[in-house]
Amino acid sequence: MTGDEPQRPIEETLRRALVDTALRNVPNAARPPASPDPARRPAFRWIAPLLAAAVVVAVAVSVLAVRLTADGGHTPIGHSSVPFPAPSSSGHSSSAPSSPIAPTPQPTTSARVHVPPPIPRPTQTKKITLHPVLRSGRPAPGYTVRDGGSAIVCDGISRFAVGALITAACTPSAEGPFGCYRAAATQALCLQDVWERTLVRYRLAAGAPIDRTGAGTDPRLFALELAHGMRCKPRSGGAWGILQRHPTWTGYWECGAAGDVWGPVPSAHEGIDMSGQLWTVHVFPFAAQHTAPGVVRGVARAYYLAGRH
Amino acid sequence: MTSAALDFETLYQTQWHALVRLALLLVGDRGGAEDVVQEAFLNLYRRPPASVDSAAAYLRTSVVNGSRSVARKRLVARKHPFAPAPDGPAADQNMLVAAEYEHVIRALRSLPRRQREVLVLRYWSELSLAEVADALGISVGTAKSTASRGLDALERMLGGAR
Repeated sequence: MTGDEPQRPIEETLRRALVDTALRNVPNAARPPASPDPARRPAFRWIAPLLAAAVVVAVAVSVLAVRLTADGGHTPIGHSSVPFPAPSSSGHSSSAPSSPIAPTPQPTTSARVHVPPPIPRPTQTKKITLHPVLRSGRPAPGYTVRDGGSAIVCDGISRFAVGALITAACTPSAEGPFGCYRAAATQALCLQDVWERTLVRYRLAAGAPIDRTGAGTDPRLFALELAHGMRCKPRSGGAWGILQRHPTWTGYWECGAAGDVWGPVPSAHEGIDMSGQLWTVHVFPFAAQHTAPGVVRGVARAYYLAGRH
Repeated sequence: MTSAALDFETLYQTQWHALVRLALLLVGDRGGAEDVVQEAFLNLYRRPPASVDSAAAYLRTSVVNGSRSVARKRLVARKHPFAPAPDGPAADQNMLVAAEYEHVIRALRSLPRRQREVLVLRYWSELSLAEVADALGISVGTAKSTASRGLDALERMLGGAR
């Protein structure tokens, strides 16, 4: 390393092990998430409006107090009868999630669990919002629950997090992106596959902080069903290599043995062209995806996971 | 987009992979590593340094510190389990490791934190001893002796395996 000291064999062994492990887990094709611009994070987005609202309320209270005093009233300021507007309970209106998989076009159809047969020749993409976990924290009808068998730590925000009652990147299953909903004080129900209708119940590790700051209120795009029936889940990491025909592209969706969805970097919609009524993606065959040409496929159905209730 | 914002974006795009890999080797899983790096960039965004060089050094130190924090949190979580010991692997063992290097990585992860950090910065990030010392806030002499002790320990642990 320094050039004036003899190399020890362990140094080269360690170097090779570190390089191999680092590249194996974070390949060049891995795409950075959206840059952390605080202005786009909900926690920051709401600070200014809240402060402004607080100032307005304070001024209103002061004005009213002055008037009441002038009128000979005796209403103490601390118990003001000013009709404060009730806070909005929806929180769904325009909260832009920090996730790069932000759902720009909002889904219009709602369904609990329904996996219909393939659409032969779709002319538009059907958006379906799934509600796998009820507001009570119980699984929705039609979903079965199996035990994950281990404790998980939810200490970060997943790109694919949905915001029902808990949204977090949960480990040790970090390589399998999934939407986790808090089911009880110490349990989470996680959906990993929209077609399986199975929720995995995990214990939340004690003491592990649950960061909800990234919890989106909008439904998150979680799965695609292509026109010819191919089912695609969010990419779950690992080395995908480089497409020879599009060396700057990256893989966005895993669609099984038949192929995967790739797209340019950056991509506003995770490799999906949403410009038309029928969304399209570029699919490259898995077996020869580094050299073979891709095909453009229509997206028959787009499955969203419900956001925070 | 302002030039400052453009610089931040460029820095983000050019440094992200290297920093996530560094964090991965310290934290032990990619999800945790990405979180650490995202937080480091967020801190940088809030307090932009004077130059790109100092930004890179700041990010590196921030990633090392963030990785320590994650490791501490996980240690606490494991020491105070909600229920009987989990069946699955610990969160910080969730790395893809080639079979031929598995024993090396396992040995590395068993080293004391300081030794592990010095070795990763030196042999993955290819930093000089002075840069390692600067990143960790220690003296060059301490960095050198820590690296030497770490290599000695690795040699002892891997002696039978190689």
